Amino acid sequence: MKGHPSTDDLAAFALGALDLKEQVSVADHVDGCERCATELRDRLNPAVGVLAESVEQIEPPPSLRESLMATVHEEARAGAELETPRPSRKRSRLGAFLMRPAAGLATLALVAAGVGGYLVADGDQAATETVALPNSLNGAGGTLVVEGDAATLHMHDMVPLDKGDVYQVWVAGPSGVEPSAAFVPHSDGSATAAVPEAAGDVDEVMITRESRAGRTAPTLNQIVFDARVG
Amino acid sequence: MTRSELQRLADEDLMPLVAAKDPIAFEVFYDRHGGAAYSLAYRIVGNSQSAEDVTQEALISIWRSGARFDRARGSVRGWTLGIVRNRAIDLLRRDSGRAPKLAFDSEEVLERRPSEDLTDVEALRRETAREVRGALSGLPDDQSRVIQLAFFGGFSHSEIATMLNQPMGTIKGRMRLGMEKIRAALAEGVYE
Repeated sequence: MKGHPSTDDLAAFALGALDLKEQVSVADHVDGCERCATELRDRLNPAVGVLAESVEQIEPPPSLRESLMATVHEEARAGAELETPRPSRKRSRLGAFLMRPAAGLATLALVAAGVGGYLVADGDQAATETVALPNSLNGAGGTLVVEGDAATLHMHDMVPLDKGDVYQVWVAGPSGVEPSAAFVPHSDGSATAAVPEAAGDVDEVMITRESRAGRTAPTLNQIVFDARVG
Repeated sequence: MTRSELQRLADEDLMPLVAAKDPIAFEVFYDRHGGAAYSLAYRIVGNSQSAEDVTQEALISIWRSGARFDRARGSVRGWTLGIVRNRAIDLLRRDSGRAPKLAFDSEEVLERRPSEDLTDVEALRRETAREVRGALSGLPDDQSRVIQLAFFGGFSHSEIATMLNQPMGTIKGRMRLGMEKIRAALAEGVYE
């Protein structure tokens, strides 16, 4: 974007009313422009906040709190297991995660996490493993949750995609590299994708940025995350 | 830190503990903002089941995503409601067969929630929201309409321009004028 966005555009941006490309372009500008960032923070965002607060306030159902807290407490326990592994626990087949930025961003350093995953339920219960992908330098990251035969990837702060582009998940196992889910992040950069293939016998999980879904092989210079799980 | 100590923390000091995966800190966070989050989701998606799903998804993403809140960019409340709004709009767009609601919440919703069940804080919050709605209703119709279509309906300025058969510049101008009026009312303390 050349110069500052117009006041009309900045107001529309604050309301989330620009078309996707314009929204991304203004967001990029605001990231590096103190003047526009200040205008948004001090003047426009509080006005948007008024809109959000203006809705009729209704009581959430108790089931919402119960469900949220059950998940949160379970994941907190799993996280504690990751930080303090007990020898009696079975070491997960999910080993250290290694994440690297896209090959095109060569100036970014390799980030190694060394976060292990541990089974948090044994016996008849479905085993749950939660493995953290550390934040990349641009803040993107996430977790892979494996429960029995199901696996779900929860990502955050993913870079917005151009129209038609997707993030493609790949799993590498004994039979080679196979495509799993393709996803487009929400406008806030978050995404959730079911990746059942990652619950199987796999060595590596990768995410690439692709110009379309349905590719049978990854575009290797578009690797966003490369997670070794063997 | 005990629950009562956590409850005394400002939002900005609570969020690093949520990011550090303290479940009690998250409970405190939910008790402060869960109601507003659900109410906004309900306003956008128009039914309780979807509102519950959207709120759950949004708040779990905050729990899972770690330290993303940046106090330099605004308040925890605004940040949280922004995430909820984005999720709710995503749902509306996925469900393209459903038209968004364009009017403010109906009295029917009010009647379902008897005020005698409310805590003082909750009652005050609802009273404030009522006052804010009253002040927003003072916006000229053409400005109020485009702002509602954008914020609660998730429509872009070009979609609104097509819908209302108006030039895009006119739509963006109305958005700006409406926002300036809200901002001026804020400065005068109308929404405090």
